[in-house]
Amino acid sequence: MERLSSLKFTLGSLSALMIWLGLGVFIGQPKLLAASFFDMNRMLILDWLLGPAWAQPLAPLWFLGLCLGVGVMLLNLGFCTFTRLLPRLRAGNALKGWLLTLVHLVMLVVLLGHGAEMAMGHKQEELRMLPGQTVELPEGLTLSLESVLFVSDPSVINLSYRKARWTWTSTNFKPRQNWAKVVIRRGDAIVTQGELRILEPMKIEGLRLTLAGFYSPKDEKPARVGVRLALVKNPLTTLFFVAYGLWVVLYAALAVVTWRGGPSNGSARQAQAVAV
Amino acid sequence: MTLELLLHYIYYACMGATLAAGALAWFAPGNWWRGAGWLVLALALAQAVVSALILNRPPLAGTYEAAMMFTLWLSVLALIPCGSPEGQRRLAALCWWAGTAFMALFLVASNRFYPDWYMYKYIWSRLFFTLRMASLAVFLYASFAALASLGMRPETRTTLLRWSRNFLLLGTAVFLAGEFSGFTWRMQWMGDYWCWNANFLEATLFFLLVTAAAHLPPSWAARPRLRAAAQAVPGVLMICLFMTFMLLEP
Repeated sequence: MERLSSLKFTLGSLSALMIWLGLGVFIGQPKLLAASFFDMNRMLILDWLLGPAWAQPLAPLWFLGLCLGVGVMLLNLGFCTFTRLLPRLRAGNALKGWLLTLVHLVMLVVLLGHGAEMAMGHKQEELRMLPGQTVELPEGLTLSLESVLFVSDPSVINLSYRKARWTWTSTNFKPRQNWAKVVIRRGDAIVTQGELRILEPMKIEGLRLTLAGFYSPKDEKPARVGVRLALVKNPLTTLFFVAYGLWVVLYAALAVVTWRGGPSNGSARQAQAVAV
Repeated sequence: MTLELLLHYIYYACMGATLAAGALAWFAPGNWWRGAGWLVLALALAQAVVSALILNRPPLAGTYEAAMMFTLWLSVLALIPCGSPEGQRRLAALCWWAGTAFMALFLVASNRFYPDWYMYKYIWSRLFFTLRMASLAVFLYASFAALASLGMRPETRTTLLRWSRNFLLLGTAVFLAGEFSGFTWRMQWMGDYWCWNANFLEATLFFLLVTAAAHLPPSWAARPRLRAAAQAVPGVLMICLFMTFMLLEP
């Protein structure tokens, strides 16, 4: 118990996670496993793990290693909370103690919200549709793309993210002027319909429909313009954002409250004692 | 005179002023360095304002714009009293010389602005880029405070190490606020706030790096050099990686 809650263990688990993330940065490069990472983003991680992930086993193995690393860190956080953080609430500066404890606990909520998001709800990114096409959505809904209006220069449509960033300037592309007309039905009844624009998602019964961009099928002549959509439903998104916002505020408050005296933790006091 | 030409002059003036202010703070007795510091701040601010006028938006991303904003943030932070006059001089000198280094980079690297990407109009993307750069500057400042503590008298050393720790914590709050903005931006744009790619993993790695510096075991934290090194690593490493990636961009 003492070892699992020690700062050496914390440092060890953080270091291991950093190395693992560094490995992720490396293997996520375009010439290595970027395609697997792309698949990870297209769907819920759970669906990815149970499906296409194993075509490139290194990517799921890396991901499972990451989960293991986070699990070890959470174990350390749990033990630290009980053996170090909670006992401190009764001693010394209560406000500092509370802030320090809450920063850790809210991080736990953020991580849990983030983790749950990988397995709960529905996720479909990079859904490509052309006008006239219909796809089925969860809970008996269907999505039809009625029409697309793209008034900007079509030659910029199929550029990569980096190239698009240099080309899609505010003079070349006006997001408000380009849209997709969509209709959502349940059976024959229209649930909702409207014009979908970039940065203006549509909400349908908890499902967020987002226009991520436009595309043009390469081999078609005359070229048609389609859309890249994202369909995401996640019951914990609000919790995640609230917890994250609170986390930021708590960090800032901790910085302010401990500005003069340092953190209310044993390590600082002990360190001072050793230094003296 | 065009704004571009004016910016050109301000750039050289700022580079010279940061170099001189750093030398005055490090070597010269008296308080001339403070005056030089205010001059650096005025020039760094002028540089950012003229750039904003040229771009019709604040400097947000790209190596040149980032270096300019780092210099501005560091010139503000360098003037904040840290509670130890001798420590303050060293710290200010390191901040200004870092500004010189950032400016000097563009004697050889391309000093072009990034084009006005349509996303820059969106408030959450602006917040993301602005807070990301501000947090990196704060982390770098915390690193300099830790490095400035090396070889100082024990009281000054303690003051600077605590100062460094304070700014690591503050930088984390700013960094996380930037991440919050970035998550909101991505969710509105792409449908989900998270993306498995090198950029998101790097950002998480940065956060863990700072977190590790704040979790030193007591026996390690009691060793000033080790503590200084641990607190200096995040800022220095982040800036080096950040600038390298940006310079390597097509």
